[in-house]
Amino acid sequence: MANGGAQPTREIAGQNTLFTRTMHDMAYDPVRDEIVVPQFYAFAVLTFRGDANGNVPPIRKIFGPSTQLQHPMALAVDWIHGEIFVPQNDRILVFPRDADGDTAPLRIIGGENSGLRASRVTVDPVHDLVIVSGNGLTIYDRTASGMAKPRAFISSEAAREASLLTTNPESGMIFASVRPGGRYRAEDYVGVWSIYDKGNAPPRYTIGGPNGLLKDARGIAVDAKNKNVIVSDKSLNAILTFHLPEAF
Amino acid sequence: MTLNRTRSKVELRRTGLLAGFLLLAVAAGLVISGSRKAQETASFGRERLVSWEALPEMDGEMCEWVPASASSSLMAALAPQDSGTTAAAGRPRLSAAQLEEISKREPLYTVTDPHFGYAGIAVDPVRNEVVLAEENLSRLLVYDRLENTPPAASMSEPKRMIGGEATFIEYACSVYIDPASGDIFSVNNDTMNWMPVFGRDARGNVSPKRKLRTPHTTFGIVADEAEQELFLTIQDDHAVVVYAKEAQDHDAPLRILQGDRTRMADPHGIALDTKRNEIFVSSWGTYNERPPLSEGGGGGNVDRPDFPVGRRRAFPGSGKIDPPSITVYPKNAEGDTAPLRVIQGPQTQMDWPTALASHPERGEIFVANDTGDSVIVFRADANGDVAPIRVIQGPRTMVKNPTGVTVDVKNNELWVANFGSHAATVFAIDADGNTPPKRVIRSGPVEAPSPKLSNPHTVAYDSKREEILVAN
Repeated sequence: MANGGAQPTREIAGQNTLFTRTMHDMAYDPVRDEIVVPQFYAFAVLTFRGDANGNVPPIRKIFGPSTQLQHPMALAVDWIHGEIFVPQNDRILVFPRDADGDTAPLRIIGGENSGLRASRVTVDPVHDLVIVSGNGLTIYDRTASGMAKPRAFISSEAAREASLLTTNPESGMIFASVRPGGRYRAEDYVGVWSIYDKGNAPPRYTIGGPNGLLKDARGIAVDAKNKNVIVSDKSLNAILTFHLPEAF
Repeated sequence: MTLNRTRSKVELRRTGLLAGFLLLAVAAGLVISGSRKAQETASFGRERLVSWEALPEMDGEMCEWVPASASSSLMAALAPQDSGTTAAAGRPRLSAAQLEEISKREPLYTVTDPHFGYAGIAVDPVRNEVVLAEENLSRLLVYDRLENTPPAASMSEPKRMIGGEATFIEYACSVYIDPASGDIFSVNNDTMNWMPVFGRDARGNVSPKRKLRTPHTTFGIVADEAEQELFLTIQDDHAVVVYAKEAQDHDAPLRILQGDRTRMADPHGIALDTKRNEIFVSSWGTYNERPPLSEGGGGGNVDRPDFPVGRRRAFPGSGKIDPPSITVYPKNAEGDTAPLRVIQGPQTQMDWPTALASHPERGEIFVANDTGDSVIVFRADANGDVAPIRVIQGPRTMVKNPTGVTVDVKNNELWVANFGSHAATVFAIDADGNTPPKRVIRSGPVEAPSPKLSNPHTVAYDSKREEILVAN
């Protein structure tokens, strides 16, 4: 397990990758063994082989005027049904995983005047849910489209401060980095909700705080086998792995 | 001063730059899967059972939004009385004491760099000092210009450090030194939209003597001392903004260079050739289209009408991908001005050209070529798909992920900040090939691994390889 000043085992970096310095999200697809990354400036979604290493080009890129992509900051992959979800504030664009080139979305959740404020998104492909952060946690059917009504909305103060997301479908848990604000106080934490939560539900567990270690919690991932939660902190400039068997 | 020890854990908890993935090996994992039908089991890879139940339909109207002013102690709010969803979830909520214990649980593992990660660099030949912007602890570090870390030493101790909440330094990527006053200008790339300026003797967690509100994602900086102007590249806006050098607070830019004709695309480095009165801008190559600046500025992350046309006004689906480039403009260019020359193409060897420096008398431009692990040098009048006239590269150079470069014209030296090797390296101005540096300032042992973490915004877990993927 990586710890301390560990050397990376490999690096995907360089001109051929088409990366920019601004990478705010990514997803690993365990079925296809692929890594999917939004490209913020080129308005693209880049897919790499799971074992990519070095200055390698993406194997596919969703890119062009038909995509409707605009500064894509986040995405999620439904590795079972083969779809990529890209939040774009008042809408979520859904692309087929195999899309390559100038491809229109398969469907769009939300739209103008939808009231949606989609910041981050994650998918629970087992329970067929799409969970969206942005002034609360909004839970949609996986196949939702247009102005579809959400299944649930979690509106607690912590949920409204939730940012990056992931899920563990086996346990039906949603993991979110929660950022009450600021970068110098240890106010941030990882909040964990159930997919069955709604209304003013607080997180069922918090880890790393509040008033703990985390100051600027951002990226979040789970290692389900070892029941670990992995979180990046921009203020600590560190990657922390917490053991949280209660949530798995 | 040189020390044969590592810095304290408290001081050295964080690391540096390099945009790209850093894939860090961790524990074991397996693919989880499922299907649409209720109570069904699916398998991917090795056998693994996944059972689940369908989420009940939500009846009635959406829950009301809780007003933003609502607040309560989180721990009190975590008490099990309020959500009413416990039964549905089939998991009892834990007691407040249990939740408190979990919230204070220590991490099993923490990946962090115990050494400074050098990113930007400027030399002060008047006062014989060099200033390094480092992205691990977000500090400015001041060393003696002739500091040279002995091979057996762990590191060199800086003469002064500036950093902390009061300083407005966060992930400083570039730095400039006023030759007359010694003032230090620090450029923050992402999380802080201010450019603080410090007196040369500043140290510790001190307020800057002034600070300037800037557009989001400033990267490169250069000053025109003759005109007392300051140039900053703006990644987000594919633009250069020019300020009065003494600008502060919310002062407006004097002029903006932005638009399709400029061919800037994710600009990073900037250099000024005072002999030819030209500015050079290096771009990584990706950009998007927006309305022309002539229709008015604004719409950026820092939304001001006197700033460049911002990200929110970009046209959906208008992203573009070009090769990396160096574009050259008259130093007084503004608006949507086409470059005088463009260095671009496979012969250039550019690979994330991140910082630039100019030597006007030699007529040369130096490029910190990040993922090329090289410094490449072009003639100042180069144009098109041209090869560099010199390339500093190879294991003897200690050049690894260079993200900062500067020229000491007085002493005829080339300085390089190497994010990938905890080292600032000094070369003769005409160095070429696999040449060892004249001097080295290191923040860690020669063989110390570098996690290359900087501003780690997101992570993912590769369950097949049991690796953590980190985007920086």
